[in-house]
Amino acid sequence: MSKNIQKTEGIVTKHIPIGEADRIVTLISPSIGKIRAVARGSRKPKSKMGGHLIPITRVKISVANTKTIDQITEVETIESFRKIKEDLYLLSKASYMTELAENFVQEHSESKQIFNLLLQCITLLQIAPDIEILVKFFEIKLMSQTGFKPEMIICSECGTKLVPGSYKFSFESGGLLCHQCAGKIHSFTEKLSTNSIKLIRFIQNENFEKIAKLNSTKNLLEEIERVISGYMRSILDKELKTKPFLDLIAKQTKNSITSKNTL
Amino acid sequence: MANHQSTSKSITNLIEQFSKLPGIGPKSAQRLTYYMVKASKEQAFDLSHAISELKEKILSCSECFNITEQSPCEICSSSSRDTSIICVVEQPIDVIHIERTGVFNGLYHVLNGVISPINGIGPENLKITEFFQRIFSLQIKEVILATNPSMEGEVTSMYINNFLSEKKIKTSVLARGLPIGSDLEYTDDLTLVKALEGRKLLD
Repeated sequence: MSKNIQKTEGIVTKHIPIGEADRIVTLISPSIGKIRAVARGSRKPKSKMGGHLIPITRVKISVANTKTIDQITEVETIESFRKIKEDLYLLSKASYMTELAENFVQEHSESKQIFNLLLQCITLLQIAPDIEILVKFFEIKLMSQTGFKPEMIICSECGTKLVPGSYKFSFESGGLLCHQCAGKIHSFTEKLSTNSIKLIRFIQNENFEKIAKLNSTKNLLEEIERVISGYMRSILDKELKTKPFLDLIAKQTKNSITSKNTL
Repeated sequence: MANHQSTSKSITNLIEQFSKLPGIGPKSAQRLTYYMVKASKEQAFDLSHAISELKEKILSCSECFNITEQSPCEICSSSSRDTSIICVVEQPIDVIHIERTGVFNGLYHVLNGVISPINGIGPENLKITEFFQRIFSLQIKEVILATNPSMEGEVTSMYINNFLSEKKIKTSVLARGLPIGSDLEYTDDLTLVKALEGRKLLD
């Protein structure tokens, strides 16, 4: 049987043990989108591949296309993101971002933009001063790239241009509603303050360097979080598996910061 | 697919049962079934008795959650074990492997899984709360985290360690590094870093 071997790079998103010593590994690659392939013998202690195929690792891989599931023939780490793997808080964020990205990537379709965004944000996780705003940056940019850009300029129902102010965000129409439309639609909406709307617009249009310089965004981020997670749930039609863990770690981190401050 | 007329119902039934077992495909299930047809009656009864006895007698230890025939298990109720040190493992099978080395004489705690955010498994699905309660009642001095060096194992270790460090309990993890007989050339960066960090002075 002739094998067609593809060489690409990718970010490992997850692995599932299968059989005696194998794993099925999922990766996001720029050239062929989502890759789901088996890594034979990768669970054996002396495996040449095992240590490279860990989630949230950037790798160079060779994949052989077979009649059934593709097979990983070679793998080499490009970046292991060590700092993330040694910090539970960063790891919870990185797991969430990779799972989210994976949901928007298809098999055998080029996904350069999503791959680059994920790579940029995972790299920044290790150095960014404000992790919460980085995650929002990732979510908002990802939605824009995949055709779900939140509409923040005009009413997403009637198209009326919105003057500065506080508006309701509709999860169904994916944007703000003018006061008239908001009166008609009551379900699945969340209120956004003027400053939160400004911040979302700013994130949509700017690069992370500029966004990272913003101060005192904490309260706004909590408000934006409610809108983004609600909108994301309505796009994906499911709750992400990493979300409960993400919330648990965020809560614990918040508690430990509060208790340190009160001491 | 219609059953072959010459195949009896009890044979198809056993093939079906065998093929439900992990690592056994339809061909192996067939081979095992036809082996059992040829095997003595005694052998067949011994096998079925062993399986039903396993389900009747095996239970989970109320202390460490290892699989056992009595609760608390032999290790937990033994007076010769060091009760000030506890080793946390993912699965009951890990206890067997560590016991085989003969170098550890403390207690165990089986988590029955690992935290795996990507699969939606959180600390609440494991025996972590029970572990925290246990270390206080036993007045444990040292905890050895012996989860696998996979991402999920590391997440679990970090989660437990976050709690233990607040309570000022000495916590250690198994050494990370190169497996004996492996090849430096094919080792990933992270393992090499861990191996260098954990290097040992030669006597």
